[in-house]
This record gives sequence, C-alpha cells and structure tokens, in this order.
Amino acid sequence: MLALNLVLKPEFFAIRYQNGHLAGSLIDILNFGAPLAIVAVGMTLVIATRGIDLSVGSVVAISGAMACLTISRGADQQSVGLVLSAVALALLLSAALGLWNGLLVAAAGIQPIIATLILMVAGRGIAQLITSGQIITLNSKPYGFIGAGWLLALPFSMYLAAAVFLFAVLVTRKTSLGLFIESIGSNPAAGRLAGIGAGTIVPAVYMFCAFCAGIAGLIISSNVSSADGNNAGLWIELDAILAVVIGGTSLAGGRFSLSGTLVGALLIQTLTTTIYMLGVPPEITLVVKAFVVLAVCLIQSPAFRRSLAHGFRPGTAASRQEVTRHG
Amino acid sequence: MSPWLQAAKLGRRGGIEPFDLAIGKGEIVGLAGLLGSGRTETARLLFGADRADEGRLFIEGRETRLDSPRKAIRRGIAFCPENRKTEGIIEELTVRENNILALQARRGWFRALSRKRQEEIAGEYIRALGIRPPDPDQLVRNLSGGNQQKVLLARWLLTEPKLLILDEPTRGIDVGAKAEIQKLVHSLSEKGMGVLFISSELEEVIRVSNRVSVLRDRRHVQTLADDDIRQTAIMQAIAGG
Repeated sequence: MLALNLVLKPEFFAIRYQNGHLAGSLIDILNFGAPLAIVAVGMTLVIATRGIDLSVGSVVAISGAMACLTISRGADQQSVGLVLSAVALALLLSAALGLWNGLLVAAAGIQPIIATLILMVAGRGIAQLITSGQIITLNSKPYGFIGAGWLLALPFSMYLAAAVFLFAVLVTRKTSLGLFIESIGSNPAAGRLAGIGAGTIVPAVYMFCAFCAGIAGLIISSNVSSADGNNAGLWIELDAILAVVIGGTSLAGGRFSLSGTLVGALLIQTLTTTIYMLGVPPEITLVVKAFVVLAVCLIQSPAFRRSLAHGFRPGTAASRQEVTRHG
Repeated sequence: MSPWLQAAKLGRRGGIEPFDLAIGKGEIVGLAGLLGSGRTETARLLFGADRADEGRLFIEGRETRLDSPRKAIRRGIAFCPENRKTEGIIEELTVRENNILALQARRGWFRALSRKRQEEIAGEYIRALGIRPPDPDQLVRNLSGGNQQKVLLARWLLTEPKLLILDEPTRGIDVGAKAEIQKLVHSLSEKGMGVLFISSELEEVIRVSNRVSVLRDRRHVQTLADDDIRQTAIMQAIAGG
C-alpha cells in the first residue's frame, strides 16, 4: 500500500549531484523527514506503553532555544567546543523534561494525555522565556552542520535519524525491554503481577521520547540557524502520532513496530513534499494530508476491508467483531 | 518445624480482617468460603499485590514487608490470579512470551534469554503440561481456557517458587484439564513446594488440601486440619453455625 504512494509520483525520482552532495526531492524527503522520524521513534515506545506524549513539539522548541541561547552567549560561535556543550545542555534539558512527564504518569498516576498536555502548553512559554521572546539567530558553522550539513553526499540529519532508529531497535529487541514494554502496554495489571517494574520503564520511555524530540529540535533549529520558540516543531506531535499509527502500532499499546514507524514517517514526509512540489495552496495542504492519512488508515483497518469484500452493510463490521471476540 | 511463611495479624482495611496463616514447605493450604469472603484479598496480600495496613509477615523466619509483586517474586512466591484473562495471561503475546515473562522480569532488562533458550524452555513446559496446540509462537488469545491456565501455570513454575498461590485454577476448565492440574498440585507439594489453593468447589478444596482455612465476611473464622476436613464441618463454618 505504502509503496504504491511513492510510485504515483514519478517526477520525484530525479536525483542530481550538486555542490558536492546529492540533491533532489528524494533527498529533501530524507533531510526534512529526519526530525519527524526521530520524534516518531521516541513516540512509538511511549504509545506502546499505552501512553502518549503531546509535548514533543514544545520540547523541540525548547531544545533549539537552549542550544541557540548558549551559542549566542559564547565568545566564539565557530568554536566546536561551544557547540558541543550547547548540544549537551539542550539534550540534558530535554531528557529532564521527559523525566518530568514520566514521573507524572508513573508516580502520580496522571493520564498520559493530560500529563503531557501540561508541558505541551507550558513548553512554548518556556521556550519564549529562554529566547526572551526574540528569535535568536546564529552564525555558527559547526552548529549548522547538524541540520544542514552533508556527510558522504547525504544529509547529516539522515545519519542522526538512522542512529536513533538503530539504537531504539537494539535496546528494545536485544534486551528484554521490548518485551516488557509490549507487556505493560498490552495488559498493565498482568504485567505488574508478573513482576515487571513499570515504575522504571515508563519514565525511561518518556525520557527517551523527549530526548528524541531534543535531537529533532537541534536539527530543526540548526537548519535555519535560529531558534523560534513559537513555530519550531509546531504540530510535529500530530505527524509523529500519525507516523506511529500508520506504521502499525496500536494507540491502545502493546505490540510496536519501529520499522513501521519509519515507513510512516517517510510516507508523511513524502506527502508533505509532494503537496509542496505540486504547488497546492497552503490552505488546502492540511486537508489533503488528512485525507490521504484517512485513506491509509481505512485500508489498514480489518473491519473496513471486510466491508469492502462483503459489500457495504452498516453495522455488519461491528457485529462481526462482537462475534469473534466472544467466540 | 517453623513454617516457610507465617502471617501474623496481617490485614487490609476494607479487604480482609487481620488473620494468622502459616504455610509450611510442601504443605497445601486451602482457602474455602463464599464469593466475596476475602480469599482473593488474602492471596493478594501474601503476594504483595496489595499492601497490608497492619500485621507482620515472616518468610523463613525473617520479617518481610511485601510492597510489590516484584519483591514477593524475589522471595520465591508465585501467584496465578483468579481473572486469568485480565490479570494473568497477556493475550496479544505468544505462548513462549507468556511463559518466560515472570522469569525474564526477575532477570531484568539486560540478562535477556536468547530466542533459542526461550523456545527450549517453552517447549519443555508445553510438553510437561500438555499445552495444546503445542506451538510456542501461537498467540495465547487463541487457546482454550484450560490451555491458557496451563500457560499461566508454566510461567510461574518456571520461576521455581517456594510458595505457589493458586486462585481458582480450575474455574471454567474442562474436566480432563482440571484433574491434570490437581495432580500437578500434589506432585509439586511432594517436591517441597508450598501451595495456597483457593477454590469455590468445596470438594476440590477438601481433596487437595492438607489444611483448610475457612473464610466468612472477610475474616478467617476457622482452620481445619487433616481428618477434620469434612464437607459438613466446612459448610458449618461458612454458614457461621
């Protein structure tokens, strides 16, 4: 299903070599899709625990703001040491925010949607505080490399996304963490009685998600060499959640698929880039996007597929589900 | 001979009145009583699934506070809950994953059992307990109630517990599987495992247990041992006569 979408847009397959690196629409997708992919990977694990993180957009903004503030205050903006310490500070802050979310959910028992909503709302304000309400612009080559740099003719941000993805896959599949996440997401009560320590796993997962948002924030702000507390990462949480869902992970938690999420993120980015390339007016962009996502979700829904096969009879799908569940 | 587990005036407000209970190595203690009499509450306290408000608990003579199932598991206690679907098995996962879950949880994040080892272990118990269909990668939701109970049992047997708490292990299960499970309980106790056996079927409790504690209205009212364990005696205790 997903491959079909790519095939329908043949004009994309032109890749040029210019300025010492590859260029073209496909490369744009990889480049601009990297932050989304990274956030979506973090979001996958949170959703797998039957949670959700609405605050990633704000963390993106905060992370970029923190890094840019640190660099702008430094003596020499070209200093690699300064950039590295700015990056470290931003990521540390992101992880701390993730811990905040995780503790609200695990220790205080607040519903994830509410808990992360707090930071989602407050976060933009925090980002503004950090930048003192201005858009901080930088002139730093080392910092610019994160989002706009090239390595071996491909965007550096793509390597970052690959690294995050591989890290997540290794940690969840090579250790027993993946099994635990799927267990507590699928049946929290049973997981607890089986001796799984959700009190550690849940905060860890939210920390990782915010850390991913932090990395994405660095890429995004580095790309434009500035920090915009209001617009950085706007609505990225929705795209990330969509990527996870399209990728096959259920919002109810349990089994998750990181590679599915990656495909979902690429799909959404392809969509965004296509719409842009076709010159569709921005007002229509979101509507078209929503429509395509709706189509993909319908195709994935077993109930919908059954309705197509047996002819449209409202109520059939629902009653059929009832029968199979009690059987 | 001091018992392996000794509960002294252990209680939880709104759940179960303070009770004394002792379970020795290789002993099968049964809990009899009507629905809502506090049997499951007793079990959950002994497993750390609920926290006790009062009283003390001793394991192998040492006082312990069981704050969580994790702690109880570490001390060698296992628990098959009454609601196997909602609190026991994880339907979405495979037989193999359900089997090794408690053992893996005890081992932690990093000492992951290899896929091969998992299949070995799961295969062992599938054969030993006669789980059908014998496919370790089958989703547990597709198994019958009896087989799901066996998968749950296998999970806990894998942890080699000193005390196994079974809450309604034969409810909703066909006669053949029921007998298998009762036989299993006997062989486990012969090997030295203590068992706390909860069942609504008086006959079953009588047949299986060495000692029976009778509950009424969230209180342990009487304990009967050996020859005193008779249907009439238990029913009288339940009725309060």
